[in-house]
Amino acid sequence: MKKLILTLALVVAVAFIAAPLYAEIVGEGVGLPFVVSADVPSATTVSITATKMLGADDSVVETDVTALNFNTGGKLVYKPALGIFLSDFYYAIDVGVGDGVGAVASVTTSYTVGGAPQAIGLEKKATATFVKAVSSGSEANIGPGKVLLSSLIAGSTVNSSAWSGGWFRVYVGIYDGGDATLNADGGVPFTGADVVGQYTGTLTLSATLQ
Amino acid sequence: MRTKIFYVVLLLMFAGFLITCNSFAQVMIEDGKVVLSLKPGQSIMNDLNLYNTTDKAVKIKVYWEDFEYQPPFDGSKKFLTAGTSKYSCSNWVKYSPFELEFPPFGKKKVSYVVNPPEDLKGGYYGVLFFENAHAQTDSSTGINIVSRVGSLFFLESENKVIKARIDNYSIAGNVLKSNFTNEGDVIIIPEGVFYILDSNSIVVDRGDIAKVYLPPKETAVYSFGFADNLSFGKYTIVMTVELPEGEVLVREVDFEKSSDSTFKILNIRD
Repeated sequence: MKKLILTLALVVAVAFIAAPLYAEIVGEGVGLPFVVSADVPSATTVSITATKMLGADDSVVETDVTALNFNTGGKLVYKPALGIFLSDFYYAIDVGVGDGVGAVASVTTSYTVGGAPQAIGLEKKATATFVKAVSSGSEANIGPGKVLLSSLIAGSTVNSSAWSGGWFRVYVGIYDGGDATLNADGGVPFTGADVVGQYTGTLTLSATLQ
Repeated sequence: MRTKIFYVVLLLMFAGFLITCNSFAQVMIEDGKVVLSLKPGQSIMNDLNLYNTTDKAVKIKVYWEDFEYQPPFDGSKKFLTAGTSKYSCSNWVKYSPFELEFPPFGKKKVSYVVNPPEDLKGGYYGVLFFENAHAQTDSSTGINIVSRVGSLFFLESENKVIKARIDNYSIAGNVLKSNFTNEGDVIIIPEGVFYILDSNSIVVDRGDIAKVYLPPKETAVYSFGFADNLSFGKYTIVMTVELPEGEVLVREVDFEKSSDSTFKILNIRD
């Protein structure tokens, strides 16, 4: 029995020793190629999380929200000094990728106009600001920068090179009327002249390879 | 002091939250792009593997849309209702299931069958979307969010035509610009590189040319910047542009940089 175990151990040992020798002889002497092959699929993955932020101090109010509700106590807040209605909140929507597995090559953001009790809805009364978010340092605008939601109706694509070294984030908030460019695009804040009621819409973030 | 510490801790917690948020994915598609070369009438069946990369159960809706690359053809896409694009294949691509329920860290398959028509010619394109089936939790004034990840389908006939033209060259401010026109019948995404030779045929600069994503019969600006420290004199830019199926375009552009740092194109060779 001992002999059998010894013989088996010897065979295994010879096999282990011989394998690399054989590889060396075949690889260098005879010149047979060793094909090393591995195919990584063009995987893509995405995590989109929306966070409700308090405008007063940029603190987190609620995480993982699925709808951007701008109301406080069921309505927007009137700002007497400005004569307009604003929200106490804004939202940060983050697009993340896996830990090195899968890649989002581009994100297309589009807005679908929803309900409004008047002709002009949230598409002209809310903004989206696209930024490259970073763990430390300042954020920088990417893609279309700050736009009215109406600018996203046809869709706007930002490619991954724009957020290299950081990640894709879009802030969504109620427009305050303070931007000349957006005003020229038809942007208007909520005022007492607007019809009372619900204003809704849908923001779609689509992540794909390029 | 305690208040300051409290705010610092709060800030760190928020930063940690953001970092954590972005280190997790939800659903990963193994094939973000499906490229098939088809014979007319030939059916192809295959699967897409999807993974839930979280420890939470996930519900996903599956549906097809068309897509088109949009000007300036830098990869920008427009997603369209299935069947509405000029290059739609939605009526001959079938898939199942339409809904998926992933357990934590689960794996699921979506099967698809491609049944191209007998008169198949050129390229057809679409995207299979996987959308988080969020329940609408709030109907107040506000915006609903839809998040989805897509697998792009490039379905092209075996006898596709791959043909492109580069013309209208100009050089200004160390940037060469040209027009790239797709004269074939499938989307072309050229892989271009360039190098610059001086009058002694020594390479003085090289680099990649940014990709364009060009549908048939469209033209995009095809440009790249090169070194701004070239001394005055004559040079040749050699552009090598790989098209699908091993087709290669090579263009040589002779130019002169003058003492006032302006550029003049002298000759262009195919």
